[in-house]
Formats: sequence, C-alpha cells, structure tokens
Amino acid sequence: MATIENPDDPEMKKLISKYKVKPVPDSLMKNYLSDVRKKIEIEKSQGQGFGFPVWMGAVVLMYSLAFAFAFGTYWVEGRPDFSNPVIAVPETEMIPVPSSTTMIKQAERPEAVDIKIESDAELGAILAIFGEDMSFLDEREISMDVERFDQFEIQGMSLA
Amino acid sequence: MISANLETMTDEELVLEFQRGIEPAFNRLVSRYQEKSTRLAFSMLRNWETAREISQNAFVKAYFGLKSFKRESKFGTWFFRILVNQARDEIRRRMRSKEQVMAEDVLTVIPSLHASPSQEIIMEEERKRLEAAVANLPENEQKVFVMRYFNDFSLQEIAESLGIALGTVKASLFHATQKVRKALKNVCHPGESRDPDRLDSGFSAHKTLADPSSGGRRNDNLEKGGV
Repeated sequence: MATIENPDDPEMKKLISKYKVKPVPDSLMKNYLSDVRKKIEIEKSQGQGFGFPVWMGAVVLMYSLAFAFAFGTYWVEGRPDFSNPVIAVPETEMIPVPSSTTMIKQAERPEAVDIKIESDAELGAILAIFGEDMSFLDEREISMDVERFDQFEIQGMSLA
Repeated sequence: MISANLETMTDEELVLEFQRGIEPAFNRLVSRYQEKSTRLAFSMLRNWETAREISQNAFVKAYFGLKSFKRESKFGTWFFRILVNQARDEIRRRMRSKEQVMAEDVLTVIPSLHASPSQEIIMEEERKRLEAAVANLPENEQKVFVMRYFNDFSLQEIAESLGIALGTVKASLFHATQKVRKALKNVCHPGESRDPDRLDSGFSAHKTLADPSSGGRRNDNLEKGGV
C-alpha cells in the first residue's frame, strides 16, 4: 500500500506498465533542430542575444535622455539659485508669518482699534475688501477688532 | 573532430563547451533531449503540434539562459524545469482564451501476442478511463503523476524539474494516485465488491486477465457489457 512517504503505488505501476506514452511521430522530429536554430536567430535579431531584454535597454535610454536634458539645462542656464527659498510668488500674495516678536506685540495691542473713515474712497476700499457684511462701516466711525485691522495692513492700506 | 568528441560528451561537458563558445555543443544537447522533451510536453498538453512548439521554445529559452547557467544542477532537470513552465503557461493561456484544442490520447496499449480481441477491448476501455482520470487531476498533481508514471522521472528529478520540495512531490503523487484509483473505482460493475482496498474494475480486470486461475469469470462479466 502506498503512503505519503513512499507514494509509488505498485499496482498503479503495474496497470500503467501495460501502456506507454505514444512514441513521437517521426514527422514531428524532422527539421527539429533547424527549426530551433531559426527561432534562436529570430530571437537574436529581436534583441534577446544582447544578454538583456529590450525593455531594459529602453529604460536605460530613458534615464540617459533625462540626465542629458538636466545637464543641458545646467550648461545653458547655469546653476539655479537655491539661496532664496521664495521663488516666483507674487508680492501681493505674500503673507508674512508672524515671528515670536510680532506675536508679543500683537498680544500687547488692544483688542480693538478705533477707526474714523475720512472719505468715500476709503469706505469703498474697505467694502471691496470685506464685502457687504461691512455695512456697519456706514457709521464712519467704528471700533474694529485687531485681527480685521491687521488685514488692512496686509493689503497695504493704513487706516490708523 | 569536434563533432565526434561531442557525441561522447556528458551533458555537463557539452554545457561547458557551449559556454566556451562552441555552438555545436548546443545542437548536440537539442538532439539528445528533443524526443524526451516533446514526449513530456505532449503528455501534459495532449497535442503533438503544440508539444513540438513548446519544447522548441524551451530550447530557445535554454539557449539564452545557458550562458549564465551555473551548473549547480543537472542540465536535464534545469531544462525540464523550463519546459514544464512553458507547458504550464500554454495551458493557462488556453484556459484564459478558452481555446479548444483537439486532445489526443496520450497512452497506447503495448501490443501483446497473447491478448485476445476481448482483452484488447477491455484494455482500451481501461486506458480511456485512466486517461480521463489523469486529465481531471488538479494541475500540480497531474504534472507529478504524468512525470512519474508516464515519463519515468524519479521523485528527485520531478522535485528539481518543478522546483518544489521532495516532500511536496511525494504528497502530490500520493493524492493523485488516490484520486485516480477512486475515479477508476467509480466505474465498478453491479455485484462487484466495493471494498476500498480493492482496486477499481480496471485493476481487477487486469489482475484477472493476468491470473489464469480465475477461470475467466471476470472476462465473461466484462464481455456482457460491464465496462
């Protein structure tokens, strides 16, 4: 009786010994070697014969081109200036990050600032910045909280 | 002179010669393995034309891989591993594309002068059932079964060719054999013993045919249309 350790089944062997795998037809073996050689030549012509697959060559070529482009740019335009980290940001969009000193200053400042609006132009500018919700400015003399007041400074306006 | 030497060289020597740039050494390896590889591919793919194609492709792959072959294993097992992988890919490709291929019979009855026409019919039926049972095995078990029983590979050769552990080969072969036995047993005839330790009707028929003391009773049953 066969076991997993000795799986050869004598009776199965006996049964199968009555049969054999069909012999390979002679016609199938004709030109076998020459057909193999032809296939090898075809593979060689398609790049297999270089020792590495064609796709690998394509990757190497791609990286070479990328390097050449980067080097070419450096050659023509020179080394890029990395000393100034702020690059190409329009001045109007620059928002200063409050330093610790500024924070202290802000903490020392009063919670609200009294503003007296002198002209219609100033009122127009304020409304343009804050929108319709600033209708209270019609009073022309208001008390504005510091945060809002600071936004005028950011926009380059001085109301003080 | 070189070709005369190549005839007598071992596989390992031929591989070494090929790696030194002697191309005819590879031709000699092809000639040496072409028939065995085509037969193995056929027993897995059940189609001669496909078997020839696949075995040739395996040689092409071997040609390009041989230059970096480190000779840590035998050329034969290394090559059959390529072949089995190619055959497996072909089977999967067929399954994906649902391609129908004319499945040919793998086994043939060894002609015997002593076999009567009725015995030949019984053997032919038995052969068909055996092939159907093997064809229904899971892929891995089928490969192991076919390599062991149809192509006479040793268990170690199977393990190396398939790149699996010897224990896995043993387990696969054991389970495959059990399944084939069971499949053949399911074609039992009315009134026959269903003792699980007894082999199937095919085995029994074989045993009875081989044993004259049985008086031919088994043959009579079979001739009455049992098989």
